[in-house]
Amino acid sequence: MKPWLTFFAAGLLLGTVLTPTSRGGETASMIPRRGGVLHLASPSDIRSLDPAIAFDSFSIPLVRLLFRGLLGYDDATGLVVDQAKDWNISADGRTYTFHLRPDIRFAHGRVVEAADYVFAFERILSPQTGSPGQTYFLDILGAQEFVDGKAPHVTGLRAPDKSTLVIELKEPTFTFRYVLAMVFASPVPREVVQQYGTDFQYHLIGSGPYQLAEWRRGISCRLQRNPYYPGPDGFVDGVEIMIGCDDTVMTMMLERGELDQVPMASPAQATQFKRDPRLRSWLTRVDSPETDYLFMNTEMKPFDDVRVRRAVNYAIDRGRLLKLAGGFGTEAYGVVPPSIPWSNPGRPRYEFDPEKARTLLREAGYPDGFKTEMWCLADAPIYMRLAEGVQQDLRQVGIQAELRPANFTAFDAKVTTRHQAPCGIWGWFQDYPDPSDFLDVLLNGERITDTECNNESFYNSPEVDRFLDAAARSLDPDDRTRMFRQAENLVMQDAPWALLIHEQTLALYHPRVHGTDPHPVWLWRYERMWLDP
Amino acid sequence: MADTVIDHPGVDFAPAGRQGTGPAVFRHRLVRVGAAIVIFLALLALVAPELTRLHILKEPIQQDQKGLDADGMPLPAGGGYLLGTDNLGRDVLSRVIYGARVSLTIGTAAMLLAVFLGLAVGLTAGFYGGKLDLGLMRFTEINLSIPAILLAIAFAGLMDGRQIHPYPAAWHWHFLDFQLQRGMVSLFLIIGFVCWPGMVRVIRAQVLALKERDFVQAARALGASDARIIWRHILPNILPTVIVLAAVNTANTILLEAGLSYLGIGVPPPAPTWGGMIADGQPYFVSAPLIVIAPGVAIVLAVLAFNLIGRGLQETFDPHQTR
Repeated sequence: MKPWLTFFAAGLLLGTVLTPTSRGGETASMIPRRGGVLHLASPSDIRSLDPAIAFDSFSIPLVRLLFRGLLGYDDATGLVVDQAKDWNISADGRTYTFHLRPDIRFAHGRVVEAADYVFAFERILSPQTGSPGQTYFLDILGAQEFVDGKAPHVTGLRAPDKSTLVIELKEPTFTFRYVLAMVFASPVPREVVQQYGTDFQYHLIGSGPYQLAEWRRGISCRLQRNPYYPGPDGFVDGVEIMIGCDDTVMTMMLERGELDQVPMASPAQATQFKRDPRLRSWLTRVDSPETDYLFMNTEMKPFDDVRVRRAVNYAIDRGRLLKLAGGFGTEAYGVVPPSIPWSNPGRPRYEFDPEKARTLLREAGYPDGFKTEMWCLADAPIYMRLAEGVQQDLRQVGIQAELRPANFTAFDAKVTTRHQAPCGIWGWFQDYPDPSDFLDVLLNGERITDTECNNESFYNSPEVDRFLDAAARSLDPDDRTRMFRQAENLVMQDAPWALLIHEQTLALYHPRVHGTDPHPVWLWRYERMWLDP
Repeated sequence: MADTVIDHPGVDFAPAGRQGTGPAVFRHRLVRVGAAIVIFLALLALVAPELTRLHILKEPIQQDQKGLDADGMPLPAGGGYLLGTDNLGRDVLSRVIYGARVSLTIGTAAMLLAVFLGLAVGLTAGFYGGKLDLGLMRFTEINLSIPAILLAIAFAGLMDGRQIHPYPAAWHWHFLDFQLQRGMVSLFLIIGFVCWPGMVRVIRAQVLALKERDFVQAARALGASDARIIWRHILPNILPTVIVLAAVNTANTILLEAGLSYLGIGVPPPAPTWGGMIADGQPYFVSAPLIVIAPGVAIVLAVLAFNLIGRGLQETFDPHQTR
């Protein structure tokens, strides 16, 4: 997931907990209490709560209150059934069979049927919907034909009876199971969608613990219980989201007890809370499963020379960059963030060594450095700060990088188009907890396109591609890990990126809120939060 | 000599013209105070690089390792940093002083552009009248109806680095290619372009009155061309008004530059801009208020100075309007 999603509201879909939180009195033995209203706020309006459309980090945890699907995660990154009774994958890895729970109903009372899933998946694939999740479902047999308008339905999606769903893939794809845990894969009631069409976004009916009570665009949004939801989660009676507060106002409201959570605090706010003995325990840090990096376009001079790319890697003082981020995060030395349950201890590592950088630049024929443009996202304070930090580090070794801040649309168009941006600051948040979401999605040369290319370095190594393709086809976890490690090692040697930091997501909670334990994928789960009387 | 209005006694504008020339304008208290502030800021801006070379002032874009505390927070005033440091560990004092270079340059350049455009449109509309006047004034009013800041934001939004090829694709005139990118030049062009409509009406009104005066009619009767009448008879008489408008307009252009920088669409970092410093420093206002207050004071001073000059000049040129 592109990191800008974080900055339009606040980031989600991330990962790991792991930094122990200092929230006092939070013990597993506390029995959740039902009742009360959870008060939230957002600087900007919720972009969408439709599970086919919502893909930004503030919306996703809210969408999960209204819509739930076949699979979910346990308290770590293990997949578990959510609204399915059981599931199995055929031995060849191509066919997924789910039996649905009979007790799951939509908020308008009808039982969820397998046909609702088929409808929901076809809705996401349909070009008319304009879903950002479309590509995730193209692995299904017949999906491409459906998208191209050559078939009225997707042949790989079948509902043999009301409670059985069969999904057949074109070829075995290990990561498809994670796609089924994304909010995109939530069932929608076909009769309601057909009745309202594009207006469905204001008449949302799902099978999650809550339903939409009222949404005044740009002002507020209110959720109330889905009376048919079997539980056990969904502790609060309702959720109220106030729209249009800036960070400072949200923090002040939290301190006054008018808000229950500030989802994405800035490092400055977090540090103020960290330093105040009274407020210290209100701060929760989550190691985000994300990587911030400087991409270097391997097709453009001077970054087509691996020595230059390595020199840039040696020139960057990651410790200082982390300090610019308030110390909330870790220095990045690998493509795949440490929060993903996977490790690669043997990968090449670039420590801060400006002298080595200068030597490499001399060898590459740039004894006096060079001038270049560095693109960065003006809407994202943290990226601007990293860009200015990197700019100074590069200046020390003679590289004059002129900053080119741009809004998201301009930035995205520039950096994803061939031969346009020589280098830039960017990042990636995981969509699902698997190394392929970083290595394969961002660095597989076979995925290079002239425009809208996620491989901003246009890095193309047939050897890396071979490992990544083999890992994508493999169903053996150990085998996959081995191949991803080899791919990452090669990437690090070729250095199309200079890794910067892995950020932490900072959330502030009022002490009356419980059930705030961070989650490796969802970051936080509103459906599990409960309030003191 | 005989061409200019000051040789036509009895013309209302004559005394204004006489008083407005030479250092007489500095006799007004407001002008003196305003000019002193502007000269002070301009001098600081001019000598800043020299002060840095002599190690009196720190480098404004240098992120100092010691400029942040252990938590990565900016340092308060003191300990080698007279006004503290900013969120990247840079010296706030140095950035405020260097910020004056950006603000004053863009403010003045934009003002000159606005005055030029305002004069061109106002003079043409007022002097020629008729359909040309109608068209130009409606166009001006359309521009006036859109708030300058919104228009400036829209234009600044276009500066996204895209390459422009201002010729048909078949022609390959690549020497005409240019890139729309943010910088001092694009910013002063934008600000100048959104500020001119405010001047047009005043200038046009004066021209309308002037062109009916006897001395203009006389010049016309003597066979003077339009260009000569405008250049020798009308322009010198509206000059006092233009100077007042220019001074007040400079305050506006500086404010607009600060506003755009605050919104992150001004001169790109790491160049120090007052508006950008306020935006960056805002989250640290509680712990290090000087990051915001220092550039804020600088903006107030600059804007106040130009407003004082404008007010003082207005009173000098047109004593009837004094309070």
